[in-house]
Amino acid sequence: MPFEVVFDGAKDFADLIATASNLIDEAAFKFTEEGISMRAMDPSRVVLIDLNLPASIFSKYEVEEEETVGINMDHFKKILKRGKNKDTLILRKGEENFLEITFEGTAKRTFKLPLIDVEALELDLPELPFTAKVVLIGEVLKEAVKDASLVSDAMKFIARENEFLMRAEGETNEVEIKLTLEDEGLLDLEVDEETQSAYGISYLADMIKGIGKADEVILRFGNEMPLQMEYPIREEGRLVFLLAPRVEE
Amino acid sequence: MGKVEAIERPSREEILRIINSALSSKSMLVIFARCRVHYDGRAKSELGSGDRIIMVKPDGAFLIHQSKKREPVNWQPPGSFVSVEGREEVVVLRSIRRRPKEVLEVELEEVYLASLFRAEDYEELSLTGSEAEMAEMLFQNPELIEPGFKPLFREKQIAEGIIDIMGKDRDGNLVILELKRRKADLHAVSQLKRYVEALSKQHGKVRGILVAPGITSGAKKLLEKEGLEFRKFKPPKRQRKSSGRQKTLF
Repeated sequence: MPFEVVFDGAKDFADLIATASNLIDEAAFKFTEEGISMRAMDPSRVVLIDLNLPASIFSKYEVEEEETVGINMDHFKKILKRGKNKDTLILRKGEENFLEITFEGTAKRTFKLPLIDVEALELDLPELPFTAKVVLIGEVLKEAVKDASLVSDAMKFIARENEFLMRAEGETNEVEIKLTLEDEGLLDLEVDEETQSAYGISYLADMIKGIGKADEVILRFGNEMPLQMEYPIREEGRLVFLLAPRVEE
Repeated sequence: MGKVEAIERPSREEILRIINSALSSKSMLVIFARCRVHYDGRAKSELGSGDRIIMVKPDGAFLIHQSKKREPVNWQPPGSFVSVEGREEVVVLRSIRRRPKEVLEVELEEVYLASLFRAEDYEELSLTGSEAEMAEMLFQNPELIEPGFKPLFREKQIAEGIIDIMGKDRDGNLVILELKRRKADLHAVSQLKRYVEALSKQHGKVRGILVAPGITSGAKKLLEKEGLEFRKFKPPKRQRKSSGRQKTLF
């Protein structure tokens, strides 16, 4: 079924897809009347991506009937990278098995991306009993992951009533990033009980690539439980990651 | 011609002969000389008169080493084109690179030793260090390949070579993993194909999985054509302290 959606600011959309494509090779995008959604897991089944872009964040949104399209993320990312900051991005599909990607700026450039068969992930996001919720600024999280990557390949998140710590330990070095509600970087902290869990830095690094410095990132986790990381896209859209923990031997 | 030819304090004719001989016989050329160096390309530089070792490799790599530091003071990468010119006062060795256009010129003012070395070397450095770490990580976290994967052997010797990891998948099929620390190329795919073919004779269905941080597009095509698989996986950074075991979501 045909559809046409228009997004202002091609580069932002490109960054979004680039972030996802670091982790997954192909994905099924569902176009419904409400918006675009995509849910996929990486091949190692360690991280799940859930993207939700409601119709309201698009400057034009015409989807008559629900349609799911399978896309090779690497090709999609490469094409989207060709969009300039100010370009308008148009995603269109007709009756054929192609996605038309158009950039409208100083010229009108259209790419045709063949669609592929992708098994849509029919999984509901599990209701996990998180005991900690941390809201912080993108920049803080990005710098923390970078700091930790110098030291180890895993970092621990520790949430207490009044503070949030991110720690990494290597053979000889250690790093600790501490945040309390008095710090500008920490916007909110809701902790039911002291909560600790560790996560792989290589996954975290891929997940945070697309986060803007000023974005509000919501982290939810429990003891030795997956981490749910969520950040807004144009206020009403959401990109959610669920990352499996690393546990002590 | 023997493996090595070396002439101390060569005459002008001997210098030209050795250089031409090295270039035409694809030997390594090593010259100890006092020289001046001119470089013009992305930048421009001049190196005044001084004693250096000049090394030219058959693949076009060109290196000028001073008697200090690890890195050459000036160089051109493999693929560069070397030529020699006998000018009035000096013999000049020139190395030209096409893209980007770079020209490196060495004026040999006085040559103390000119030598060539017919080096034969078919080995490739086996990066056992981090490939071993990849194997270690996969043995500890086999779900990184896929759920239900059971690694059984490491460095298994067979007639065709050494298999990095051999195991079984959740359906009981034999699985061969070929690990590469760097982006996998056609060579890696052929290696895996050889192992899979060798074992299929005795074991029936054998799956071959190439495990690497990336794969060239040519290699990917060949991989798919041969019915082999690819798993993207980065070698872990040297982890000394145990940072736990990665769990999966489902």
